[in-house]
Amino acid sequence: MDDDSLSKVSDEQLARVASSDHAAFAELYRRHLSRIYRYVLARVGSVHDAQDLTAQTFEALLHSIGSYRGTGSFAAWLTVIARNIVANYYRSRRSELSLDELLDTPAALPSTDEIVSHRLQLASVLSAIKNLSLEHVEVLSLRIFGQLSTTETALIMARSEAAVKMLLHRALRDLKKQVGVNVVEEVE
Amino acid sequence: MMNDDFHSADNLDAFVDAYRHDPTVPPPPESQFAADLIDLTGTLEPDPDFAAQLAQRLHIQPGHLTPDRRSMNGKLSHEEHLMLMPKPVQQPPTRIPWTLAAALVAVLSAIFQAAGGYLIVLVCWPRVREKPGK
Repeated sequence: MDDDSLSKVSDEQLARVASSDHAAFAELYRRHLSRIYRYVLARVGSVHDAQDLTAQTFEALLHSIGSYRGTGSFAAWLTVIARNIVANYYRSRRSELSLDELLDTPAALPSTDEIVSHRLQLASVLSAIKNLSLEHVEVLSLRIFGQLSTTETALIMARSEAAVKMLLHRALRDLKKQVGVNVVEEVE
Repeated sequence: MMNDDFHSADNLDAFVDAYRHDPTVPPPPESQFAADLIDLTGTLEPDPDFAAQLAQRLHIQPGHLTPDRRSMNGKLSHEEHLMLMPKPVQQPPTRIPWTLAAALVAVLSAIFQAAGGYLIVLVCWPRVREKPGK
């Protein structure tokens, strides 16, 4: 597959040949790196850990891309790999740190210039996400940060689409409230 | 009340999809926070050095990471710029060094000289041996 034609090919078609076609794998990496990184960052709240887990996700993808059957959404399939890696991360962390320590871990900030202007807002969002219920964190991470559709999010969370819409609505309402609380606390 | 919640959830969900495809869509007041959050997530790009190192670990060749012109408005990111930079390739030698050529000529001429001498001996030796018998 030549590089020019890759942009017109769907994720699913690329994924079916990516185990033997390096250009197809590279195209998938280019398309999904930012999306997966954002999803993981929303889940763990630390840039360093987000980078580490994103790297693990793509390394796992490299080894398992041959097992993709092409029946469902590739974006959702890849996000499930990232989700499992995040789950393993929390499982191993739980044995190392107490919950209090986990909640007190400060969220590191990205160092790129583009993000500096959003610094306070991003810090408060990442901090506020930690105070939400797991389902709300999940729906925000998948739907907003991970840029998945309602159908894909419903599939991953094993919920109906109507339930996902309702969860998103409530999660955003709670997050808004939490961000407001954090901003008030910072001002005080 | 419950119906209102479902209706709001439906509208919000539709707005998220619409805004993601076209960020110029004006958000209704109740979706303003969702729009702000989507804008914020849009700024969260992985560090270019991290992206380049990970690509290397995944054996992705720099030439395979073609930039997405639609999303970049024709500009290359720092990461892609680094990845698209041609790496110095060691060219195979195409010219024989002079010393090697001279040595080759010397060896070949020595072989020809030896072969010529051997031919002379081969031609002349029977005649030389015949003389005593005459």
